[in-house]
Amino acid sequence: MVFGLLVIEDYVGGALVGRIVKGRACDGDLSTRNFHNFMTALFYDSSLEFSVVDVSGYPRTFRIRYFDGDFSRGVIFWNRQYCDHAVRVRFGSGSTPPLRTDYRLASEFLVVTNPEVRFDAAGGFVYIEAGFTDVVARDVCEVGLTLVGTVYGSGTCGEVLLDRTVFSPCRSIPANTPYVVRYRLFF
Amino acid sequence: MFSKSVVVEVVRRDGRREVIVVGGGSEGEPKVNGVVDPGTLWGIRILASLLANVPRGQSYSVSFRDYGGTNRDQFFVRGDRSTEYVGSGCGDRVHAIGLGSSSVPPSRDDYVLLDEFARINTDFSVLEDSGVIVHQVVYTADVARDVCEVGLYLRGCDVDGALITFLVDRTVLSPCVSLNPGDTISVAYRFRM
Repeated sequence: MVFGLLVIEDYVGGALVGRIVKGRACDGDLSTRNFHNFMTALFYDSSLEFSVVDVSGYPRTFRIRYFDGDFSRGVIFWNRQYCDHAVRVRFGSGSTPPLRTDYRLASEFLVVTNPEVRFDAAGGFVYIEAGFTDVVARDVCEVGLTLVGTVYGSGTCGEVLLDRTVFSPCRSIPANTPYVVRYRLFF
Repeated sequence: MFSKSVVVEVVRRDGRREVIVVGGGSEGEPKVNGVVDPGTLWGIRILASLLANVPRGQSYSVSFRDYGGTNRDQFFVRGDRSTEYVGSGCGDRVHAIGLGSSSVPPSRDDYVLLDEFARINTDFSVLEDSGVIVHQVVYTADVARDVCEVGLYLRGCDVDGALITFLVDRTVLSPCVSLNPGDTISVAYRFRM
């Protein structure tokens, strides 16, 4: 099994300019569909519930988020319906090396709050894709992936940085040219 | 950012040790373009909260710094209730590792080990300095066994409030590990971020 192999690809004007693989593959080794559904629900903003097949072979449903007033059922994750549940992709020009204690980009100039999130159940992938086209030239030196949800107690909404990736060298994006970053997480 | 490995260590009755690692590659720091590239500490803690063992009546909380720079404390799992965050109130949300003798290749649709002879609740630990989350069990053979498959089972409350066990990984060892009576095998799932 490859747990959460993370591939980051970026595109300038539709052409692939880079691919970073974070994680190490082991050919022919798979996680189960159960785990893929579990992790997809974590990243997919439309997922309130996910399904598994239990050890007896029966289909079961888990709730990923807590509903207000839903007092009799279990949930598996930390978020409440009160807060948005989403991922965001952030772009910056900071080139300092990433640290475990980073909590934001070093020099952010743009955030995409509604990246496209898709999942491929057959392939075991979750895709998170975001981009921009700017009227001025940009140097993209860092991208960040964040998770939005409940960050304190039961009702304070916020955002947490999961990954900060630094490009070396920076990507130079000409004015009026589309730039896209695609995260591929493989479970 | 993410990786997973299964580390199998066998201690023979005469004290000889054998170590097998499946997946995950080296335990060294992940690098991108030659530069160390860690996941964030906050991501590690969130992942740990998803995978933590939480017996009924206990809780699991983590601290992190949010994107605005504010330090936060969050109860991700609370065992004293059946509703908030994770419904461990329905039972012991303690995960398990299974050992079995089937060498049929793994499939995405596997939901149980194919020839399981032991399922043991795990010891759970988080090594924050290295970003590693570990579920581990130790099994001592009472009779001769061939360990050809290991699997990680998670437990949680479904939407009906029932404690459910489901398989999230089945790893096939090739070749199988043969145990004689008295041999001890340790199996560790190591998730790294």
